[in-house]
Amino acid sequence: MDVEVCKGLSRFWMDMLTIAGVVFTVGGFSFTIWQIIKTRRASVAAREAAIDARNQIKKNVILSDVSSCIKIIEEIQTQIRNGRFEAALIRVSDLKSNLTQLSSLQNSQEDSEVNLQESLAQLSILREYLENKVNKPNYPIRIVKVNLVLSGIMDILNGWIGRIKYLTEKGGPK
Amino acid sequence: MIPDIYSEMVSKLYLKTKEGKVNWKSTVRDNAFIISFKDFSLSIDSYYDQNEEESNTRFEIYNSEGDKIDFFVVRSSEDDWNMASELHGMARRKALRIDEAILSMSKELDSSGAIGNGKVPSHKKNDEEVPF
Repeated sequence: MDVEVCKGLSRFWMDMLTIAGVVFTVGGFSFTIWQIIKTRRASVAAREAAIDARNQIKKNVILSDVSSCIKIIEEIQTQIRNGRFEAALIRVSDLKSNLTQLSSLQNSQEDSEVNLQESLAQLSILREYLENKVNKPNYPIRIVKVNLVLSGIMDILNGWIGRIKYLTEKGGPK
Repeated sequence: MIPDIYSEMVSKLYLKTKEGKVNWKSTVRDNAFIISFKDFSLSIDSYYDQNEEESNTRFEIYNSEGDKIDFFVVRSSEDDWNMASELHGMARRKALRIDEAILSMSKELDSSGAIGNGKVPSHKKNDEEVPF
């Protein structure tokens, strides 16, 4: 009788141990999966933070470069008004190379709405126009028209700055 | 004349401009207008060549960096002249918004009201005139 009880009890404990083993295995497995998900989430968050930081730096670089382009445009307008065409020609070339560099930074969606293509072509025409003026002093030049075209380019750049600032404040697409 | 490689593109541009779907813009150069595509820009201008004594329409192509990469000229004595000249005229009208101006003025003239600011001057009768 005692032997039967002992056998029954040991079987009971054996079963309990088996159940506990299964529970611990399932628990351990779940814990491992949870840890993997947590690590994955952390690495995704770190990656996103790195991308955000990179985009923020890019935006700051663009803002600074666009602002300096606007200053160059103002300088060119003054030089043209004062008849300093050779100096204006040099600054037009500087502006064109700065805008070319800026256009290469345009690869995200929000930037693609800013079309520098036309501005660059306009500057190329202006450069040729000023080159003619420098080489042939009698070459007629329409100062008002030149400055209007430059103001048009300035408007595009100011719009770009506004757009970047708006998106930064809004926390929209980075 | 229009080179063969550009012929089809210019015809398409002509038709699209005729439909009013091309936003031509003015440039610093008189009579030169520009249109910007995704990666390239094209300008069109018209001038009189005093050496050849004929009118020309010039097309210039600019790359994404704004550098002129190619050009061609259509002379008034050539077959493509009519299309090139008409395209230049349409570009000019679009860039300077001449069609809009004509339409707006025409609409205003159709209305029964007075045109222009202020009162329309009336002719005074002789007896109303101040005698000095």
